[in-house]
Amino acid sequence: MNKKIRFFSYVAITLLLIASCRPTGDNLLSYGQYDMLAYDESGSSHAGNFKALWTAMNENYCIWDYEAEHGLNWDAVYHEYLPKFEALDDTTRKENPTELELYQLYASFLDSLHDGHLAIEIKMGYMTKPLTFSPGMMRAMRERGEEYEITGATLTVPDSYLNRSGEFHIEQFDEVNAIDFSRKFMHDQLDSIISRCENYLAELEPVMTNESVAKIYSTISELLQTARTARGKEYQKDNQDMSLYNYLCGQYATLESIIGWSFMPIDNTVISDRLGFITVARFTGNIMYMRFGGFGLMSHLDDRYLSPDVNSFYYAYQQEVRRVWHCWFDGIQKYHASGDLGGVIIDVRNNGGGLVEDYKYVLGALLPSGGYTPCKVRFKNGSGRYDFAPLIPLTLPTYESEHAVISQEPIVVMANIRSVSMAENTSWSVKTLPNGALVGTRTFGGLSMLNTEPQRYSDTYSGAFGVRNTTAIWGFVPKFVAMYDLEKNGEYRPLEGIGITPTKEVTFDLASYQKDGTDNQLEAAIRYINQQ
Amino acid sequence: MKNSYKISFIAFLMLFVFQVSPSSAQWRIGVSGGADYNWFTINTNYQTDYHYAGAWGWNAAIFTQYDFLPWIGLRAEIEASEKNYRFYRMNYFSDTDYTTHNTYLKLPVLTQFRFGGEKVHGFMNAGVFAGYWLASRQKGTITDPRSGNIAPIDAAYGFNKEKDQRGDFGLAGGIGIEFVPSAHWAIHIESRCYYSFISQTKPYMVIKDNRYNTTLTLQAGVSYIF
Repeated sequence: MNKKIRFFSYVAITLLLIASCRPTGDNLLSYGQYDMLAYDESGSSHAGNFKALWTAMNENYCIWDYEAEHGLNWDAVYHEYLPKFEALDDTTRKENPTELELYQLYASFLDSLHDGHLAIEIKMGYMTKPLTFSPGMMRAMRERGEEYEITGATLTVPDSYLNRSGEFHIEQFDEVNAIDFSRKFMHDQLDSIISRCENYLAELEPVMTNESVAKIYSTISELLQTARTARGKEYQKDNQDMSLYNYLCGQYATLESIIGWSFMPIDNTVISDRLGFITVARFTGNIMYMRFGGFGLMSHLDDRYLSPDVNSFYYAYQQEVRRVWHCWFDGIQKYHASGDLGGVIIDVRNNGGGLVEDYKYVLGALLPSGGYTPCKVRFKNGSGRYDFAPLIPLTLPTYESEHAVISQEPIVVMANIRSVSMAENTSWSVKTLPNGALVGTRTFGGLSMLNTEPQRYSDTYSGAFGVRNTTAIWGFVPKFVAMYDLEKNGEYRPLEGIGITPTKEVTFDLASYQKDGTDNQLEAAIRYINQQ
Repeated sequence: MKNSYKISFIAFLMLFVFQVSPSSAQWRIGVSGGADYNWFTINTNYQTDYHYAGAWGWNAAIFTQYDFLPWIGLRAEIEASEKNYRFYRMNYFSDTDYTTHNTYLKLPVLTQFRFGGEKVHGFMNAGVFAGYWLASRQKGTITDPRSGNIAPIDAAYGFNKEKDQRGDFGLAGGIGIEFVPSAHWAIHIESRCYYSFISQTKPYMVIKDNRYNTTLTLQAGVSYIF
């Protein structure tokens, strides 16, 4: 019996010893924010920068499986490039590599990445500004350079159709443009200032012998000169006139206490408004058209964001945006109710995207309340390159107030290579509708969703990494990947770097547009609706 | 040369099998099944709000056993079993709570040592197992980090050829009690531990990221003794 017990004991001890043979994994640091240990080697060493970038991307970038499908082996990048960066750190080198050399070295592997939103900045201690990489932009220019360039032309559609007849005739038109609105406001203010200055100077001239009056005379003269300069057209480039006007408002603010003059500066939130502009039109046959610069409607249409100061310039702008948007929305509702709605056109060409919540004021204003789920979303759930949480539905918000659903009349979205992000998700959504179609060209291919706030890093422990202008590397990386069921077979995949393909492909004819304002893509959209 | 080693080894094995005690040698076949509880070992590093916990599953097996002596036998099984684990988060993300159900086909080969009486005796199994990860499914809920809404999930996990190590190998060991009510029938209960040596992820990255399963089973079975 003792023999048996001894034998069992030997077996048990052997098993325990073997059981300790599990190799453990590496201990990792977070690159999500500024962690000194994580970024210790970066900034002063090329190899350190490369290793930090490689690791941060390895843990935070969300479409490595998609990149592998496209032939990128991230480990191979490590093995191939680390020796190259280590060679740059060689102390026997006489000079640091030039910025161009460094740019080309990084670009040779970063430019093949597919995420359309991805942007990376890399800086060495001896450099004055970081190297900036935008693989999505580089891809667009590399693969579709001509189209990218052509569509860069300023489109001022569709006021050129005001005087056309037939199916392309505009019966009703309205628009607001943040820059134009700001400039008009500024011109009104400047005209008033110039007029007041001229009158005041005329009044002061007879009593110029008084020293204090002479001082005021000089100040008003300077103000008049500055106001005239700001009013001139030569300063309109890059909105320099508005900068000068705002400078004027600050510089001469003391006049309020001296002679009671006050100046109202232009609110920069209007000039840099994400929406940019909104144009609406009603074409023959009650086809309701809307175009806007970016998804920034919510800031104006949602009561929560309405300026509390009803006398402010911003409030006035918000009211204009509301009025123009309602022309489109109310028109759709009105003509739908009477059975006369011909169709709806949402023009997201050259639209760089923006707020997801804006969906409810665009396509979501035509869909039932409660949200619309055009695709799914994926995010990471571990530090491993391929650690992904299960897919969940991506439900986009739709208009909540009572409204008619446009399920019968055709809905056309117009898009092109410069349609990005929310513009692309709107394009995809329209394509999924039985009464929807996409007219134009394939979109940019930057469809995933960002959340770059450092305090939200732990949402998924992925996405944007580093701190801009602080850490040697900084990554603007989406953390939510939109996944699409292209074949309607339950197989969801990203479309980063590819974009949404049109139902009806129509390339933009720049020559016709420049000749007489003919927008062949718009005409194709109207024709498509009229043929339904 | 290699062949002569092989022939010698087989001859030695045959001698062992037939020489030890031919009078007491006997075959048996049987079935067993029960519940199991799996622990998933993973290094979550800085992801401090990612929590992994064990989860219950099931197992079912058919087996055959050759007893060389009254106290020692060799057992081989074909077993289907689950190695499940739970993933959950806290606070704002507390609706993230889902279980990954992993179905494996395993082939344990065990040496059985018996002790005690003829009718009722204890036993200990010790050996190794090889396995294959057949399927995986994730069930539960996720907090949508964008909206905070709850999203129910119940979907098959799509294997990633580069990442997922579907082969499995490790140690198996258990203890149990067997009751032999008649000459041909025996029933047993057993608690067994499967300890995987193979990481569930392949070494697909420069960074090492090993993850292991350890499974404790509680099973009952019946065998027919020839």
